[in-house]
Amino acid sequence: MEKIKVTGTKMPRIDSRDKVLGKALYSADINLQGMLCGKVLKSPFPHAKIKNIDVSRAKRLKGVKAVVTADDINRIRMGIIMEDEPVLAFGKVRYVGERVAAVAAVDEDTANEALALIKVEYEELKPVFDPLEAIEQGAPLVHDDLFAEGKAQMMGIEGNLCSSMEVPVGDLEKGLAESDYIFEDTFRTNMQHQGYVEPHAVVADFDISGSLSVWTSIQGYITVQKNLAKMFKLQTSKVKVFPTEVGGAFGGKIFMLLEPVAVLLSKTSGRPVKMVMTMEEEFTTLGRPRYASVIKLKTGVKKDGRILAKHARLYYDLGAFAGFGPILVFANAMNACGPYRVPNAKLEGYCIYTNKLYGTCFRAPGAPQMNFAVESQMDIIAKELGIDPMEFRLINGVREGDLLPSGSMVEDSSLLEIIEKAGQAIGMKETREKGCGKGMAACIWTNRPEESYVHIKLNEDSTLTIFTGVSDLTGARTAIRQIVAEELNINPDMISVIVPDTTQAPLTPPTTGSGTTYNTGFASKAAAAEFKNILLEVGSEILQVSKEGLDTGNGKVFVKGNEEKAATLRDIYKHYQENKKCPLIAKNTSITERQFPLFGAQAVEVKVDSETGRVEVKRVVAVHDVGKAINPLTIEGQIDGGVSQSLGFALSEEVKCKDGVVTVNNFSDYGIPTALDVPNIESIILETAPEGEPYGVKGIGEPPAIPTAAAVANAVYDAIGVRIKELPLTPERVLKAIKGIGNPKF
Amino acid sequence: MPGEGLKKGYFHMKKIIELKINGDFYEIAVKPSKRLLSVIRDDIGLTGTKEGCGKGDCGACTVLMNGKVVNSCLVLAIEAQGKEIITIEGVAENGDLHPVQQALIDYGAVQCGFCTPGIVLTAKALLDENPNPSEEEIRDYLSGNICRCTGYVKIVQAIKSVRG
Repeated sequence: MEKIKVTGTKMPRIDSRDKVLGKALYSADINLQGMLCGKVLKSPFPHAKIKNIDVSRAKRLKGVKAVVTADDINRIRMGIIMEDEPVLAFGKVRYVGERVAAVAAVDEDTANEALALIKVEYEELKPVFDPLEAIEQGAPLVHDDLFAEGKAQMMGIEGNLCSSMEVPVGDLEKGLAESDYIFEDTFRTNMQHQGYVEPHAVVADFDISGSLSVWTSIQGYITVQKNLAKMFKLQTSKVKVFPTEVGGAFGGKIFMLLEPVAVLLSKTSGRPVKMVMTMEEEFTTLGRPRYASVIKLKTGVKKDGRILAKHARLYYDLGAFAGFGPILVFANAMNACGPYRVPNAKLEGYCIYTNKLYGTCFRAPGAPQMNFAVESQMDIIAKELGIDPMEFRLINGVREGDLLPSGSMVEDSSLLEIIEKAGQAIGMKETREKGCGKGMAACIWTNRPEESYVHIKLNEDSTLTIFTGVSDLTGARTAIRQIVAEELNINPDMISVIVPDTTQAPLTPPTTGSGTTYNTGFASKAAAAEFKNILLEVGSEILQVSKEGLDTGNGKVFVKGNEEKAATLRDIYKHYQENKKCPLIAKNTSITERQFPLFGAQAVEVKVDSETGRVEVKRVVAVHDVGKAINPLTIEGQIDGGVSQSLGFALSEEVKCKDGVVTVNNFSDYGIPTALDVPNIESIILETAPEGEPYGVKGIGEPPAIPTAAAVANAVYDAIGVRIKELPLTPERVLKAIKGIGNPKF
Repeated sequence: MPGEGLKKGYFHMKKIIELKINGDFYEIAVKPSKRLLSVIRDDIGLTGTKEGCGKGDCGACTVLMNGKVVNSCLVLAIEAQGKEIITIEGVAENGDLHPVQQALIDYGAVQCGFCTPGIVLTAKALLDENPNPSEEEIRDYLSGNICRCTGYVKIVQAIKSVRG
């Protein structure tokens, strides 16, 4: 019997039919009987004491069914790493937009009217906006209340320094002393919104009996069940979170956003409540952008181009709350060596509170910022040493057997091949047209191994149903089906993939960390093996042939070498049902353990208009090692998406903030790329499957977003001869740079 | 509600309007300030039309009005009277996908899918108007529809594949 080949072939996503028909359901599409509209009252001040909140007039307004403040939820705080964010503010507010109260009313107009009737008395406090000023002595304390309660000390907060880390590698001082040249540069990046088109939305339906149903746009709906059960002291079995389609997330929808508020409003009103952020709220107050950062690099090199030492200091501007900052700063400071051999280093990271909108994850969280700094400096150094930028990367690139700053060893590295491929494809060494420039950047990232479960059930009509708890953002259902089809040698059309609500879903990690296909794929393969084993056992009973003499395929269990002698899946189902009196379900866990370095490199060609400062991206080549491409179609899609988001990061996107107030509130002012801004992206997928892993999947979700901005910055330098060390490279910034040095290359 | 109109002024008084959506007629009472998008999603219950920015920036709420692309968040429901409205639910006929819908699937141009209904309608309008658009014309036509997942790469490829 021929083995079917499903992995490695381009498969359209199984969710795409519903999506082109407009049938796919997102959280805001859920409508329940008697449903109310929930809205949040936000702080107008960056830093102020709350002296009094009077909700009496709002409560009296006709059509208002609930008005809540912190007192209605026991003044609790939440947070993914540090519980420093009140669900609703009490005592004080720390940024413009902090949630102070919430209402639920029969319609949106009434809800907004009710918000206007809530009277809050504030006493303004001196705010602090700049992260470097915030860690100076005497700066206003963002979390003085946490200190007063003795909690800040327990969390290890010092002043406005939320957390810090330092990792030494070799001997920095010795490395610097032995260097022929030392380069010191400071880079800045600004806040970037994830830019998903679906604003965060949640529907909560709390019943007085203690049961709760929630529909929410989130990257890990199973985690929401756990968090809400804990927060509202409910039995896990009674918290039903439904998976809905998610209209883009990119890290911005990992931790709960409006969920606790919606549940509180539903609990208070006794009615279902829907809350949908406006896009203005997404940008200015309730959304959670990519952290702004200041990055200081001091790098020592030998004349021959070898990097000897690196001192990196990464300052994250957290905004008002910690969010994911303390873990991201660690990963990103470690990324300061890039994919290069750096024998001596000191990698420092600081997370700093300021009175601003606070940030969270965004595709390869933190890495595009650090990569911009590291790869910009690589070109600065190469230029000074008179070495070709691509050669300089090849001299220093990590090789097999090298140790990374994390201490893990590079088992196999395709980095040098990747750099060469990217450089050759864009023609790094070829001459440029007038006003054009070329640049490249390389990156290293890592996937995240996690525990995952998949269940496979045999149905009476010989079809299969797969159960998974994945929040499918990236085509996970499609990849799972491909793997199970291939393992069992069954036509994928015979397989459905179901994502049930949390009361029935197999435990699956949130869709993050470039690990979804790796983790769920691993579990799918394990479950398929278990399923196949059961099929063979039952087949053996029916056919009276030992298990070892049997195989599966084409909807049958057959005798090897005599395929005519076979039991259909229908026979198997019947036999199993009659003898075992239970459904045939295979369950398997898989705990993936290996972290792979994910290497990539991108090269771009830009054209800079010297009159306007506008940068046009003419070409992007993106080379990424995915280990094994289960579905090349969705991998190309991941590369296209990551690159285009980071073209925005490089050139136009900025959540501009003045005196703590975000001044952009829509997509156009924000600078999101349109079809006129993004060129055709040339993807080159490399497959160097590691041994001993199912299929050799490594991961691809995040790396494509990492090196783009640095490659663009290097190409802009190549075009105009001036180095710009702050993103985004807006026409204003580029024009200023050109004028500042008198435009040597034009 | 008697009295409410007087209290809040004329613009809050509801009017009965008749809308033709996907060939069906709907009689609905709306405030004059109500957006076509809200009527389609909330009153009629056709949730395939999405609300992204609510400001005419993103195109997620695209519908066709007399064959032309409009952002339904910027159109008042009362303005849509007497016009032919097509939403995403009205594009496929008897379950047969429009060639653009099939191409978007085949080319992997659908990721999160939130912009997809708007993209389908925009592409349909473009091809109805100009069966053989150049890539530049396609990109220009799509520039009012924001897609964050695909970088537009596969969307453009898909639309190119169904040119006349």
